[in-house]
Amino acid sequence: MNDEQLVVALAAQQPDALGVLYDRYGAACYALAKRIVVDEMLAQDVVQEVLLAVWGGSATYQPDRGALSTWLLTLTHHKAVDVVRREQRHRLRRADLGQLDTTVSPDPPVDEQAAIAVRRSRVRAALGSLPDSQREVLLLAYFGGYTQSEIAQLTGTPLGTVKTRTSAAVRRLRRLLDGLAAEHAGEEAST
Amino acid sequence: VTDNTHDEWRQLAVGHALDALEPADDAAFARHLAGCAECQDVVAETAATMAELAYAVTPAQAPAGLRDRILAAANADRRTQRRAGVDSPVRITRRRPPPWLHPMQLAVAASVVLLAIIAAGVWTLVAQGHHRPDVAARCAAVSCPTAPLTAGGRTVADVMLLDDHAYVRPVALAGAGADHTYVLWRIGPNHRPIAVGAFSARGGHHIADAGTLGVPAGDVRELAISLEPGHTAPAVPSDVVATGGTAG
Repeated sequence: MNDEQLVVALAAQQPDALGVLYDRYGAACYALAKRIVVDEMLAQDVVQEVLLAVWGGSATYQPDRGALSTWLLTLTHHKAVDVVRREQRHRLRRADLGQLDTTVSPDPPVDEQAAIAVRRSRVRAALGSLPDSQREVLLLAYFGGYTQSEIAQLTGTPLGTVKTRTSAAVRRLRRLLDGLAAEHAGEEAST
Repeated sequence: VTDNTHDEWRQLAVGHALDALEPADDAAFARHLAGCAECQDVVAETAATMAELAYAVTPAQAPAGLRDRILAAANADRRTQRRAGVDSPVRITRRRPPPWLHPMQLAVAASVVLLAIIAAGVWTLVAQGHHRPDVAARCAAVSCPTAPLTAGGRTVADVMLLDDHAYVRPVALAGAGADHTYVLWRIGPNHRPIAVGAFSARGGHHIADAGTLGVPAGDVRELAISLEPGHTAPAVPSDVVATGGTAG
C-alpha cells in the first residue's frame, strides 16, 4: 500500500489503515514530539491525537500541498508546540540548546532503516552548515517551541533580526538539502 | 501588524509554518494567507523543509503499547460513532456462495439478500433519524458543552460537544450548494483556528457530525463555522459565517 492508497484507506476508515500509518510514520512522529515536549507520556498523547485526528477525518490531508509525511510531521509539530506552551515546565530552556545537537550521529541502531539514517545524516550536515546565528533561531523555534518574540528576548536580538534570520535559515536549509539530495543522487548514479 | 510589505508577509509565512508567531501576528497572517497563493507556497515549502528537519532528531523508540493504545482508541471511537448513529463508511463484504447451493437456491438467496439490503437501507435511514436526536438527548442528559454560533446577533447553528465529537444542529444555515461545504473550526491556542471537520447542512434541523475534537470537550472555548469551496477543510478558514463560545 503506497501513501496515496493509504490516504484513501484512512478516509474510508479501513481497519488496517491506521496500523499501517502508525508503522510507517509513528516512530518519526513520536521522535519529533518527544524532542519538543520532552516528556514521554506527553509525546505519546501528541502522537495519539495526531493519528486519531487523521483517522477520524477531522484533519484533512490535501495531496497538492505536500507529501503525507510532511503533513503528519507538521500536525505533530503543531500539537507538540501547543502542548509545550501549555506545559511550560517541559519546555527546553536555552541552556539545553546543546541537546539539539547537529553533529552527525555515530553508527545508527542496527534496526534503523538505512534510508532514514542517510536522510538524518544529510539533514544534520545541512544544519551544521548554517551560520550559528541562523541555526540558533531555527532550532529554538522548531524544537524549542518558542515564538519569535520569545527568541528575541532569549537571545537579546531585535525581533526584526530574529524574523530575518529565521527566513534566511529556512531558505538556506532548503537549498542545502536540495544540493545534498542532488549530490547523493549523483553518487548513486555513478556507482 | 500594520502596513506590511510582501517581504514582511513572507517572513510571517515562515514564522507561521514554524508555529512561532505571536497570536496577533498569526491571526493577521491567517487572514492574509487565505487570499495569497505566494504565501501559501512559502508555508508549504517551509513545512516541507521543517519536515526534513524532523529527521535530524535522534530516533526515539516509541513505547511498545502505544500502537495498541491508538488502535484501541480508534475502535472505541468507531463504536461511539455507531452508537450515535453517525454516517460511517459503507463496507461491502463479498462472500462466495456455498458450493452446495443450487442455481435456483442462488436466485432465491439473491432475492433474500436484495430484500435484506433494501431493508437494511431503510433501517439505516430510520436508525439515523432516531439516533441523531439521541445526540441532543444525550447531550442534555450529561450537560455536555454547547455553543450557539451566531452571525449578526442571530443564532445560525448550535454545536454540541459530546463523546469527543462536535455535532452541529443548523438553525438558520442555508444549504452550502454542490460546490461548497461548511467547516467547523475550534479556536486553539494563540487563536489559531483548527478544523474539526467538514459537514453538510441538509436543511431542517438535521444534526451533522462535524468530526472529532482531538481535545477534551471542556478545553474548547470558541468555535466558528466557515463556508469553503470544495468538499474538504482548508488550512485556514476563508469565509467565516458564524462564531460563538461554549457554555455548560
